[in-house]
Amino acid sequence: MFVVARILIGCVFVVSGFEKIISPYQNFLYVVQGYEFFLRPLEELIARFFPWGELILGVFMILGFWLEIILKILLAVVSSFIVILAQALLRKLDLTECGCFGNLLSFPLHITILFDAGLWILLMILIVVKQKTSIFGLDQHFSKKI
Amino acid sequence: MKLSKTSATILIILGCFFIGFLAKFVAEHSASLIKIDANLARTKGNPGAPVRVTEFVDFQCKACLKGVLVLRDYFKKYPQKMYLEVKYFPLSNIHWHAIKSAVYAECAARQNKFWPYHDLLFENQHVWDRLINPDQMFKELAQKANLNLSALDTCVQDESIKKFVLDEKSQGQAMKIVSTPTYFINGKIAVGFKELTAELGKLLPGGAQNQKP
Repeated sequence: MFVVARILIGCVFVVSGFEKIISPYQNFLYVVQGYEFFLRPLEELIARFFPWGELILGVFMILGFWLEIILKILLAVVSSFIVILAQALLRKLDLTECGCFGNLLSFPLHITILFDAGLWILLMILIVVKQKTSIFGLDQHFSKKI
Repeated sequence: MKLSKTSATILIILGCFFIGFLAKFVAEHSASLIKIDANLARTKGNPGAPVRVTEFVDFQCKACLKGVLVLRDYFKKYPQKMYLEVKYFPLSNIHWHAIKSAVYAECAARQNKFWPYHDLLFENQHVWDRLINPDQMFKELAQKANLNLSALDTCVQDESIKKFVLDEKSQGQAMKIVSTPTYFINGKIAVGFKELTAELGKLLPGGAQNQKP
Protein backbone atom coordinates (compact mmCIF):
# COMPACT_ATOMS: atom_id res chain seq x y z
CA MET A 1 0.00 0.00 0.00
CA PHE A 2 2.80 2.43 0.93
CA VAL A 3 4.66 1.53 -2.25
CA VAL A 4 1.54 2.25 -4.31
CA ALA A 5 1.15 5.60 -2.55
CA ARG A 6 4.81 6.39 -3.23
CA ILE A 7 4.43 5.59 -6.94
CA LEU A 8 1.16 7.53 -7.23
CA ILE A 9 2.68 10.64 -5.64
CA GLY A 10 5.65 10.29 -7.97
CA CYS A 11 3.31 10.07 -10.96
CA VAL A 12 1.48 13.23 -9.85
CA PHE A 13 4.76 15.16 -9.87
CA VAL A 14 5.99 13.62 -13.13
CA VAL A 15 2.75 14.43 -14.97
CA SER A 16 2.59 17.92 -13.49
CA GLY A 17 6.22 18.69 -14.39
CA PHE A 18 6.06 17.12 -17.83
CA GLU A 19 2.91 19.02 -18.82
CA LYS A 20 4.57 22.32 -17.88
CA ILE A 21 7.85 21.44 -19.61
CA ILE A 22 6.23 20.78 -22.99
CA SER A 23 4.25 24.05 -22.80
CA PRO A 24 5.89 27.45 -23.29
CA TYR A 25 7.29 28.48 -19.90
CA GLN A 26 5.38 31.75 -20.22
CA ASN A 27 2.15 29.86 -19.52
CA PHE A 28 3.44 28.76 -16.13
CA LEU A 29 4.99 32.19 -15.53
CA TYR A 30 1.50 33.67 -15.89
CA VAL A 31 0.23 31.21 -13.26
CA VAL A 32 3.09 32.06 -10.87
CA GLN A 33 2.53 35.81 -11.37
CA GLY A 34 -1.15 35.35 -10.56
CA TYR A 35 -0.28 34.34 -6.98
CA GLU A 36 1.53 37.68 -6.40
CA PHE A 37 3.86 35.97 -3.93
CA PHE A 38 7.33 36.20 -5.45
CA LEU A 39 9.56 38.97 -6.72
CA ARG A 40 9.73 39.32 -10.49
CA PRO A 41 13.16 37.67 -11.07
CA LEU A 42 12.18 34.77 -8.82
CA GLU A 43 8.92 34.29 -10.75
CA GLU A 44 10.93 33.90 -13.92
CA LEU A 45 13.30 31.38 -12.31
CA ILE A 46 10.43 29.35 -10.86
CA ALA A 47 8.61 29.29 -14.21
CA ARG A 48 11.71 28.10 -16.04
CA PHE A 49 13.15 25.56 -13.62
CA PHE A 50 10.49 24.35 -11.18
CA PRO A 51 8.81 22.01 -13.73
CA TRP A 52 12.16 20.23 -14.19
CA GLY A 53 12.41 19.86 -10.43
CA GLU A 54 8.93 18.35 -10.30
CA LEU A 55 9.82 15.87 -13.04
CA ILE A 56 13.09 14.78 -11.41
CA LEU A 57 11.58 14.52 -7.92
CA GLY A 58 8.68 12.50 -9.33
CA VAL A 59 10.97 10.08 -11.15
CA PHE A 60 13.12 9.56 -8.04
CA MET A 61 9.96 9.00 -6.00
CA ILE A 62 8.64 6.38 -8.43
CA LEU A 63 12.00 4.63 -8.49
CA GLY A 64 12.31 4.81 -4.71
CA PHE A 65 15.76 6.34 -4.98
CA TRP A 66 17.28 8.66 -2.35
CA LEU A 67 13.88 8.30 -0.72
CA GLU A 68 14.75 9.82 2.64
CA ILE A 69 15.84 13.09 1.03
CA ILE A 70 13.21 13.10 -1.71
CA LEU A 71 10.34 12.64 0.76
CA LYS A 72 11.60 15.59 2.83
CA ILE A 73 12.01 17.79 -0.24
CA LEU A 74 8.52 16.90 -1.45
CA LEU A 75 7.12 17.65 2.00
CA ALA A 76 8.76 21.08 1.86
CA VAL A 77 7.43 21.64 -1.68
CA VAL A 78 3.87 20.65 -0.75
CA SER A 79 4.08 22.81 2.41
CA SER A 80 5.05 25.78 0.25
CA PHE A 81 2.14 25.02 -2.11
CA ILE A 82 -0.21 25.15 0.87
CA VAL A 83 1.21 28.47 2.09
CA ILE A 84 1.00 30.04 -1.39
CA LEU A 85 -2.54 28.80 -1.96
CA ALA A 86 -3.64 29.90 1.52
CA GLN A 87 -2.33 33.43 1.03
CA ALA A 88 -4.10 33.61 -2.34
CA LEU A 89 -7.37 32.49 -0.73
CA LEU A 90 -6.97 34.87 2.21
CA ARG A 91 -6.17 37.80 -0.08
CA LYS A 92 -9.10 36.79 -2.30
CA LEU A 93 -6.92 36.98 -5.39
CA ASP A 94 -8.77 36.80 -8.69
CA LEU A 95 -7.66 33.25 -9.52
CA THR A 96 -10.28 30.93 -10.95
CA GLU A 97 -7.96 27.93 -11.31
CA CYS A 98 -4.81 26.75 -9.55
CA GLY A 99 -2.82 26.17 -12.75
CA CYS A 100 -0.93 23.40 -10.99
CA PHE A 101 -1.16 20.80 -13.76
CA GLY A 102 -0.73 23.17 -16.68
CA ASN A 103 -3.34 22.55 -19.36
CA LEU A 104 -4.03 18.98 -18.31
CA LEU A 105 -6.10 19.45 -15.18
CA SER A 106 -7.19 22.44 -13.22
CA PHE A 107 -9.06 22.81 -9.98
CA PRO A 108 -10.38 25.76 -7.99
CA LEU A 109 -8.04 26.95 -5.26
CA HIS A 110 -10.04 25.60 -2.32
CA ILE A 111 -10.11 22.11 -3.85
CA THR A 112 -6.38 22.26 -4.56
CA ILE A 113 -5.50 23.25 -1.00
CA LEU A 114 -7.49 20.25 0.28
CA PHE A 115 -5.70 17.99 -2.19
CA ASP A 116 -2.34 19.38 -1.07
CA ALA A 117 -3.27 18.93 2.59
CA GLY A 118 -4.06 15.27 1.85
CA LEU A 119 -0.76 14.94 0.01
CA TRP A 120 1.07 16.51 2.96
CA ILE A 121 -0.46 14.00 5.39
CA LEU A 122 0.37 11.11 3.06
CA LEU A 123 3.97 12.26 2.75
CA MET A 124 4.27 12.50 6.53
CA ILE A 125 3.00 8.91 6.83
CA LEU A 126 5.46 7.75 4.16
CA ILE A 127 8.30 9.44 6.04
CA VAL A 128 7.29 7.70 9.28
CA VAL A 129 7.08 4.27 7.62
CA LYS A 130 10.10 4.82 5.40
CA GLN A 131 11.17 1.17 5.52
CA LYS A 132 7.87 0.00 4.03
CA THR A 133 7.80 2.87 1.56
CA SER A 134 11.16 1.92 0.11
CA ILE A 135 10.11 -1.65 -0.81
CA PHE A 136 10.80 -2.37 -4.50
CA GLY A 137 12.84 0.82 -4.66
CA LEU A 138 16.34 1.42 -5.94
CA ASP A 139 17.48 2.36 -2.43
CA GLN A 140 16.95 -1.25 -1.36
CA HIS A 141 18.82 -2.50 -4.40
CA PHE A 142 21.85 -0.34 -3.63
CA SER A 143 21.83 -1.06 0.11
CA LYS A 144 21.85 -4.83 -0.68
CA LYS A 145 24.90 -4.35 -2.89
CA ILE A 146 26.78 -2.73 -0.04
CA MET B 1 28.51 -3.89 -15.20
CA LYS B 2 27.99 -2.63 -11.67
CA LEU B 3 26.66 0.88 -11.29
CA SER B 4 27.43 3.01 -8.26
CA LYS B 5 24.64 4.96 -6.55
CA THR B 6 26.13 8.27 -7.67
CA SER B 7 26.41 7.13 -11.29
CA ALA B 8 22.82 5.90 -11.23
CA THR B 9 21.70 9.27 -9.84
CA ILE B 10 23.48 11.16 -12.60
CA LEU B 11 22.10 8.80 -15.25
CA ILE B 12 18.52 9.23 -14.03
CA ILE B 13 18.82 13.03 -13.95
CA LEU B 14 20.34 13.09 -17.44
CA GLY B 15 17.57 10.75 -18.63
CA CYS B 16 14.94 13.14 -17.26
CA PHE B 17 16.56 16.07 -19.08
CA PHE B 18 16.88 14.08 -22.30
CA ILE B 19 13.22 13.01 -22.34
CA GLY B 20 12.05 16.46 -21.22
CA PHE B 21 14.01 18.34 -23.87
CA LEU B 22 13.02 15.85 -26.56
CA ALA B 23 9.32 16.20 -25.71
CA LYS B 24 9.69 19.98 -25.53
CA PHE B 25 11.40 20.07 -28.93
CA VAL B 26 8.66 17.93 -30.54
CA ALA B 27 5.89 20.04 -28.94
CA GLU B 28 7.49 23.34 -29.97
CA HIS B 29 8.22 22.09 -33.48
CA SER B 30 4.61 21.01 -34.04
CA ALA B 31 3.34 24.34 -32.64
CA SER B 32 5.67 26.36 -34.90
CA LEU B 33 4.21 24.67 -37.99
CA ILE B 34 0.88 26.39 -37.37
CA LYS B 35 0.50 29.50 -39.44
CA ILE B 36 -1.38 32.50 -38.12
CA ASP B 37 -3.52 33.83 -40.95
CA ALA B 38 -4.17 37.54 -40.97
CA ASN B 39 -7.81 38.63 -40.95
CA LEU B 40 -7.64 42.24 -42.08
CA ALA B 41 -10.83 43.29 -40.29
CA ARG B 42 -9.17 42.46 -36.99
CA THR B 43 -5.86 44.17 -37.59
CA LYS B 44 -4.72 47.71 -37.00
CA GLY B 45 -1.56 49.75 -37.24
CA ASN B 46 1.21 49.85 -39.77
CA PRO B 47 1.57 46.49 -41.62
CA GLY B 48 5.30 47.21 -42.02
CA ALA B 49 5.75 48.09 -38.34
CA PRO B 50 8.77 46.72 -36.49
CA VAL B 51 6.59 45.52 -33.60
CA ARG B 52 3.93 43.01 -34.63
CA VAL B 53 1.56 41.75 -31.97
CA THR B 54 -0.95 38.92 -32.28
CA GLU B 55 -3.34 38.87 -29.38
CA PHE B 56 -5.43 35.86 -28.36
CA VAL B 57 -8.30 37.41 -26.50
CA ASP B 58 -11.36 36.58 -24.44
CA PHE B 59 -13.69 39.59 -24.20
CA GLN B 60 -14.90 38.56 -20.73
CA CYS B 61 -11.40 38.28 -19.27
CA LYS B 62 -10.36 41.11 -16.94
CA ALA B 63 -6.66 40.70 -17.62
CA CYS B 64 -7.42 41.12 -21.34
CA LEU B 65 -8.96 44.49 -20.56
CA LYS B 66 -5.72 45.53 -18.85
CA GLY B 67 -3.79 44.34 -21.89
CA VAL B 68 -6.04 46.35 -24.19
CA LEU B 69 -5.23 49.49 -22.19
CA VAL B 70 -1.50 48.79 -22.41
CA LEU B 71 -1.74 48.31 -26.18
CA ARG B 72 -3.88 51.43 -26.54
CA ASP B 73 -1.17 53.49 -24.82
CA TYR B 74 1.52 52.06 -27.07
CA PHE B 75 -0.56 52.76 -30.17
CA LYS B 76 -1.00 56.37 -29.03
CA LYS B 77 2.71 56.77 -28.49
CA TYR B 78 4.02 54.73 -31.43
CA PRO B 79 1.31 54.68 -34.11
CA GLN B 80 3.77 53.84 -36.90
CA LYS B 81 5.74 51.25 -34.99
CA MET B 82 2.90 48.95 -33.96
CA TYR B 83 0.80 46.39 -35.77
CA LEU B 84 -1.87 44.40 -33.96
CA GLU B 85 -3.94 41.43 -34.93
CA VAL B 86 -6.66 39.96 -32.72
CA LYS B 87 -7.59 36.27 -32.55
CA TYR B 88 -10.41 34.75 -30.53
CA PHE B 89 -9.68 32.50 -27.57
CA PRO B 90 -12.91 32.27 -25.55
CA LEU B 91 -12.40 30.53 -22.21
CA SER B 92 -15.93 29.19 -22.07
CA ASN B 93 -15.19 26.95 -19.07
CA ILE B 94 -14.77 29.98 -16.81
CA HIS B 95 -16.50 32.78 -18.74
CA TRP B 96 -20.17 32.25 -19.55
CA HIS B 97 -20.39 34.85 -22.28
CA ALA B 98 -16.95 34.34 -23.80
CA ILE B 99 -18.16 32.59 -26.97
CA LYS B 100 -21.19 34.82 -27.44
CA SER B 101 -19.15 38.03 -27.13
CA ALA B 102 -16.63 36.66 -29.64
CA VAL B 103 -19.46 35.77 -32.03
CA TYR B 104 -20.83 39.33 -31.81
CA ALA B 105 -17.33 40.73 -32.34
CA GLU B 106 -16.82 38.53 -35.39
CA CYS B 107 -20.15 39.68 -36.79
CA ALA B 108 -19.01 43.26 -36.25
CA ALA B 109 -15.76 42.41 -38.03
CA ARG B 110 -17.78 41.19 -41.01
CA GLN B 111 -19.32 44.64 -41.19
CA ASN B 112 -15.85 46.20 -40.90
CA LYS B 113 -16.69 47.55 -37.45
CA PHE B 114 -14.52 45.25 -35.39
CA TRP B 115 -12.46 47.90 -33.60
CA PRO B 116 -15.26 50.18 -32.39
CA TYR B 117 -17.19 47.11 -31.24
CA HIS B 118 -14.09 45.61 -29.63
CA ASP B 119 -13.54 48.83 -27.66
CA LEU B 120 -17.19 49.01 -26.60
CA LEU B 121 -17.17 45.39 -25.45
CA PHE B 122 -14.17 46.02 -23.22
CA GLU B 123 -15.37 49.39 -21.94
CA ASN B 124 -18.64 47.79 -20.87
CA GLN B 125 -17.23 44.46 -19.77
CA HIS B 126 -18.03 45.19 -16.11
CA VAL B 127 -21.73 45.57 -17.04
CA TRP B 128 -22.44 42.65 -19.41
CA ASP B 129 -20.13 40.38 -17.43
CA ARG B 130 -22.81 40.24 -14.71
CA LEU B 131 -25.84 39.73 -16.95
CA ILE B 132 -27.47 36.32 -17.32
CA ASN B 133 -28.40 37.10 -20.91
CA PRO B 134 -26.19 39.80 -22.43
CA ASP B 135 -27.78 39.75 -25.93
CA GLN B 136 -29.73 42.96 -25.40
CA MET B 137 -26.61 44.75 -24.19
CA PHE B 138 -24.55 43.40 -27.10
CA LYS B 139 -27.18 44.76 -29.50
CA GLU B 140 -27.17 48.15 -27.79
CA LEU B 141 -23.39 48.27 -28.17
CA ALA B 142 -23.78 47.29 -31.82
CA GLN B 143 -26.14 50.22 -32.28
CA LYS B 144 -23.56 52.52 -30.71
CA ALA B 145 -20.95 51.17 -33.12
CA ASN B 146 -23.30 51.88 -36.05
CA LEU B 147 -23.71 48.26 -37.06
CA ASN B 148 -26.52 47.09 -39.29
CA LEU B 149 -28.69 45.39 -36.68
CA SER B 150 -30.69 43.10 -38.95
CA ALA B 151 -27.49 41.85 -40.59
CA LEU B 152 -26.03 41.42 -37.11
CA ASP B 153 -29.05 39.34 -36.01
CA THR B 154 -28.70 37.04 -39.00
CA CYS B 155 -24.95 36.73 -38.46
CA VAL B 156 -25.27 35.94 -34.75
CA GLN B 157 -27.79 33.14 -35.49
CA ASP B 158 -25.42 31.63 -38.04
CA GLU B 159 -23.80 28.56 -36.44
CA SER B 160 -20.83 28.81 -38.80
CA ILE B 161 -19.70 31.99 -36.97
CA LYS B 162 -19.53 30.13 -33.67
CA LYS B 163 -17.64 27.35 -35.43
CA PHE B 164 -15.27 29.94 -36.87
CA VAL B 165 -14.58 31.33 -33.39
CA LEU B 166 -14.03 27.86 -31.94
CA ASP B 167 -11.76 26.90 -34.84
CA GLU B 168 -9.63 29.93 -34.09
CA LYS B 169 -9.47 28.84 -30.45
CA SER B 170 -8.38 25.34 -31.56
CA GLN B 171 -5.64 27.00 -33.59
CA GLY B 172 -4.49 28.75 -30.42
CA GLN B 173 -4.65 25.54 -28.39
CA ALA B 174 -2.47 23.83 -30.98
CA MET B 175 0.02 26.64 -30.35
CA LYS B 176 0.00 25.66 -26.65
CA ILE B 177 -2.08 28.64 -25.56
CA VAL B 178 -3.95 27.91 -22.35
CA SER B 179 -5.00 31.28 -20.96
CA THR B 180 -5.80 34.81 -21.97
CA PRO B 181 -4.49 37.26 -22.82
CA THR B 182 -1.70 35.54 -24.73
CA TYR B 183 0.37 37.59 -27.15
CA PHE B 184 2.91 36.83 -29.81
CA ILE B 185 5.20 39.84 -30.01
CA ASN B 186 7.36 39.51 -33.10
CA GLY B 187 6.79 35.77 -32.74
CA LYS B 188 7.75 35.58 -29.06
CA ILE B 189 5.04 34.40 -26.71
CA ALA B 190 4.01 36.56 -23.75
CA VAL B 191 1.21 35.54 -21.40
CA GLY B 192 -0.63 38.19 -19.37
CA PHE B 193 -0.55 41.96 -19.49
CA LYS B 194 2.52 42.16 -17.22
CA GLU B 195 4.59 40.21 -19.72
CA LEU B 196 3.10 42.24 -22.56
CA THR B 197 4.24 45.43 -20.83
CA ALA B 198 7.68 43.97 -20.15
CA GLU B 199 8.20 42.76 -23.73
CA LEU B 200 6.91 45.94 -25.36
CA GLY B 201 9.05 47.95 -22.95
CA LYS B 202 12.13 46.18 -24.33
CA LEU B 203 11.18 46.93 -27.93
CA LEU B 204 9.70 50.41 -27.50
CA PRO B 205 11.11 51.97 -24.33
CA GLY B 206 8.98 54.24 -22.21
CA GLY B 207 5.67 53.15 -23.69
CA ALA B 208 2.61 52.53 -21.61
CA GLN B 209 2.10 54.59 -18.49
CA ASN B 210 -1.50 53.72 -17.82
CA GLN B 211 -1.90 50.07 -16.94
CA LYS B 212 -4.91 50.42 -14.70
CA PRO B 213 -8.33 49.65 -16.11
